[in-house]
Amino acid sequence: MNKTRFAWLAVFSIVIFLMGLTGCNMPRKAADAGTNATSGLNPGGADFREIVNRAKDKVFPAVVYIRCLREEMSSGKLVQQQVTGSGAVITPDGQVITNWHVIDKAVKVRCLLSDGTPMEAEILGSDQDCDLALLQLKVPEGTGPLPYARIGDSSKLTEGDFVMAMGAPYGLSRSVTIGIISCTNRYLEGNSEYSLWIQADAAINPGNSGGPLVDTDGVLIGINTRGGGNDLGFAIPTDTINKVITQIRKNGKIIRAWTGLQLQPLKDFNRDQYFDFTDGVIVAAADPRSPAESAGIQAGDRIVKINGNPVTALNEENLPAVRSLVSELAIGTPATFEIMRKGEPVTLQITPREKGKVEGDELDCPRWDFTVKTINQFDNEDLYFYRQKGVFVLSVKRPGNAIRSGLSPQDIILSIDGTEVRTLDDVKAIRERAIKNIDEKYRMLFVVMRNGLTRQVVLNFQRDWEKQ
Amino acid sequence: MIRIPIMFRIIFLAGLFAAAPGFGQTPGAGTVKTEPAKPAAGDESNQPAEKDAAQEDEPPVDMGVIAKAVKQSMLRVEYFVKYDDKGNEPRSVGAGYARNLTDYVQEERPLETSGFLLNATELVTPDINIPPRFIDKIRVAYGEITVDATISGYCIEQDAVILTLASPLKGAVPLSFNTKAEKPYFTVSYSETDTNWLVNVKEFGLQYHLKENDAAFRSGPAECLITDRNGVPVGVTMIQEYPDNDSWKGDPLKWNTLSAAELTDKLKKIEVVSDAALVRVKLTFRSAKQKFGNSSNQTELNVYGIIMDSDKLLVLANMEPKLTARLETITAHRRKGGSISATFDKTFKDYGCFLATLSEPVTTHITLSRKNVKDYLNRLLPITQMDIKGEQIETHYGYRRFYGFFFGWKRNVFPSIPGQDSNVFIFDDNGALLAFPLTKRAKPGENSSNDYFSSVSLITAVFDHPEGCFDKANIPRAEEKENRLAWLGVELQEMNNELARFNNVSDRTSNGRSGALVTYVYPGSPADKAGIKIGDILLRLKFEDHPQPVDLTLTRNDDLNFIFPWDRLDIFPDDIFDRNPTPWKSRENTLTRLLSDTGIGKKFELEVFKNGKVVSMNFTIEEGPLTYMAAARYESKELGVTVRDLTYEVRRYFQLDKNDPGVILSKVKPGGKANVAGINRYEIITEVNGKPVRNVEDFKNAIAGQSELNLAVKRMTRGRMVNIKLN
Repeated sequence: MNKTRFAWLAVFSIVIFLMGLTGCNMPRKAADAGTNATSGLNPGGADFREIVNRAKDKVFPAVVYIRCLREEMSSGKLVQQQVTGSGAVITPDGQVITNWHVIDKAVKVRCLLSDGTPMEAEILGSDQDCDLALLQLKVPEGTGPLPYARIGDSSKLTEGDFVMAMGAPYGLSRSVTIGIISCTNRYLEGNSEYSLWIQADAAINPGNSGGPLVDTDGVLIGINTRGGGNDLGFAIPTDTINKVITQIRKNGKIIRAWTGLQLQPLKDFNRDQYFDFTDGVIVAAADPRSPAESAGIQAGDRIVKINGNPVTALNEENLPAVRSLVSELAIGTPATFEIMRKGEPVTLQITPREKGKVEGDELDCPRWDFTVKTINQFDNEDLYFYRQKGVFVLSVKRPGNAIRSGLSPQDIILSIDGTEVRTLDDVKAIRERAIKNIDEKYRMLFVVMRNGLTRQVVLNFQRDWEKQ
Repeated sequence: MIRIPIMFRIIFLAGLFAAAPGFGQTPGAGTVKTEPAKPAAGDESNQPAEKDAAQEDEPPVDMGVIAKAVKQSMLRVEYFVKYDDKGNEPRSVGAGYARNLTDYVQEERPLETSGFLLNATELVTPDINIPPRFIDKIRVAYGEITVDATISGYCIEQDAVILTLASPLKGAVPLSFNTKAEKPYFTVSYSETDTNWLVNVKEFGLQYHLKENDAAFRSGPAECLITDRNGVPVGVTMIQEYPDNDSWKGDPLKWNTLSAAELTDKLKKIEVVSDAALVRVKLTFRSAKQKFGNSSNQTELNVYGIIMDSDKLLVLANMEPKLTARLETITAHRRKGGSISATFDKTFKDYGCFLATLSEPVTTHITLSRKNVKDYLNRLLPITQMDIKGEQIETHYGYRRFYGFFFGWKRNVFPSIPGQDSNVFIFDDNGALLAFPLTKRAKPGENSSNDYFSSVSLITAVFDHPEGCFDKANIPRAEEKENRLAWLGVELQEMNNELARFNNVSDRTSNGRSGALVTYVYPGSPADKAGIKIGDILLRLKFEDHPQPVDLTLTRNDDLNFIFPWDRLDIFPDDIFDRNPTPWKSRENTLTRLLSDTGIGKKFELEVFKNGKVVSMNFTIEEGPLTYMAAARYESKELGVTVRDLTYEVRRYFQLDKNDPGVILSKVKPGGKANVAGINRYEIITEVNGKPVRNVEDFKNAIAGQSELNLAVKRMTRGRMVNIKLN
């Protein structure tokens, strides 16, 4: 068993290394972009410096350094840690835009303005799918309007345009790096559900996350979100930002329609795939138990119109727009999908549901030495496949009672000592009783599901691994 | 003069008879008044009571007189041993000489034993039976004088040889036997104790033994000279069994003996038949299917075989059903006459061997003896010893003696032979095979097989009454059937002490060391029909004609149950899956293997712990549905994939209904068309060009002749359409 696991682990670590794009963590020397610039904006080096300075002066005052206290489950227990990032004030009353991953699970958000004023902030709302969050600074009364960055229109950008990445990567001091737009519509597999990325080669340093990407006019045209080392930086474009903040301001959250459609483009050079059509989008599959499935949609169907609007995904870069369109369908109202199936037109009505949370809640179980999470269909597809409701072991503490007893991450807890478990509250209640009774009883029978098989584990929590 | 109390003497004598002589037993000291031992039970018959009384008055015997009388006939025999020409270690195959002969080579000294001089140049000595190739020279010593000697006679009924001296030994006096010499008798042995060679004299007494068939014999000490009270030799014995009459008396030179030439002649005959009919059999096997943790992956075996009829070959290979299933070719390599191929016939149920039929009849074969091994106690029997060394076979001819018998499996009589060779074939006086090494096959669930040196009567008994003696489950199988398994229809979890305690089965599972928790029951399976439920604990199985109950004990490999990284499937190179288990648990586990090896149709009783009680359930072993390992498969070279049918355990894992279409990818060639199109192992192709594919045959037909393929591909929850253009 152990040997096997090690084999997989070894593979995974290589994989993670190869993937690379895992956060803003590759420092780099400042971009040396000015010298060979040929843009009309830049007849001479001195002018260019002026342009950069002008843009910088416009946006720097709006750049915010964010420091959060995050409470999260890590290695089988609840831990508190400080996370830092950047943000940009976008309204004079102190709304700050940043990344979701900066403020995720934050219990306290502190911001430092460019003039050195610290302020706390509350989270107005966030969107995990697009990695955006909107904060409201708790501006003390009597404070005048704050300097803010104007949000521009990233769709006007073209490759080669000069841009600056701003942020507060190491604290108080703001930084700016310069580069050009490398690609305006980058598709990152698994990270481009509803939005493409702006790829720029301005250096992205740790702590740049959430900071603005600014054009030469000093207008915010993106939020720096991911770095990949070696001149790779990815920012969220403004059309996505605008959609998200509008919804958050309105609803305090993002509401999306969900149909369970898995889509794929007509052409995929990487996989040498060419479906010989010029319009429509291919249905790859329908999620099990989804509206699309119950509407009878089939893998291989080609959707050509949704509610009368033509849809086309020629390449994967077109997919976020189509998915975005589907996510904006009216929830609970049948939408008309015009489909080509084996050359024949078919019309289907799909009634979207609200997508809801994309991640389950978590609970720490000290002394038992593991953490649990509720199964979420978007976050835990493979577990949801076997059980649509319930709680699973998120991680186990090492060393600890759970791992000693044979509980494994991803075990779905069906019952504890005969009591059925459906929610985190069930686990919480059983655990509290158990800890109270620990002197009399410190063994409990967990019935868990692993790969669809119903196993038993006796959790012996007699030992206190936290004891100093 | 010491009078030993009668009771004490009885014990003393009994001890003397029981112990093998010549091994440092303290020689009897001093003299005693002649007083035969109080006769042992049953010894009354020819010891009239009045004679007993009369002897009370005879003068005491002086054992010193006896010792001195024969001392000049007592010789020391020295065997100088060596490694043979091929560098093999010297080994003795005589009874009681177990010490490693290489020690004597290292210590540069001879192995020593005793001898009794019979005439000027001949002596009798215990048979150490060192094969001649290990003997550098033999020397006989009388005091300080030594003379070279050779073995000139091999005693047939006595465990002895006659040595002939190169020249007479000065000072040594041959024994002169008088069979008429009167009782009381004494035994004289010559042995080394504390580096002193001693002449040991003891009172002589024989125990009387009556067999079930009313045959009687007597027993006494071995390897000794027997004399009267004055040291006049009466006889010599090298074995402990004496006939129940006086025939043991007399000069050893009159014993039945083979001269060296006669023995050579006898062995020549054995050699001729061995060359033609005792063979190296080369077995070849199909490669085992690639599988994680596959232990049985042999593709070649070289074993012994006996051609025992014009076309019958007995192959001495103890193969598990799993290995036999892959058996492809059988070739008998004779040392003379070339090689002959053979086809599998049937496997012996109880013994580690199988029968094969030769492709062409042969003229020389080995006859299986119908004699009783027990009639050959201590007898010189010719042997062939074979050592398979790679493709070569090293053969030696010699002789062995049975030194005893014991009851073994099913109360069969097994002979004991000296030495621990597993490669000795013993022939009777007619040149028929009498005994050979045979493995008692372990029953499924038993720990290990036992190697016995066996009488061929075990095999002839099977031929006489073949019913039920052959194992129908242990046969070669077609490739697609080689991995077929019997089933109960459950997935299992390994027990441990905590689980055993919680489920109240600590006492029935050796504290959690055995037993298996049911984690899933396949609908419609035998287990399902019998009412086995998730959470039940399977304890042990009792098979028909298998007296030992088998505790169900899972191994680590049985309970591999890890979460497969489906979200990262695209990143793994295909060959990584060869080194790792499948996402679903393999259906080959201790239980299914046990049932498969026992055989379809056999009955068994299963003890199940259910709702707090032990319940006994009766089953007949059924063949399970095809598993992933045995599933039909199809390789498309054009696409660079191998697909297999969706089998029941794979359907369970993917929660697919019996009627859901699909074939599963079991191999995706890196760089192949399918691989380029992003297809990975363990994905499922459900449709080809809009048509569902239900099995590999469907798939094969669906892709045949197509220039473009649109495949619907699924993994756990994700799916996609794959478009592949073919040339």
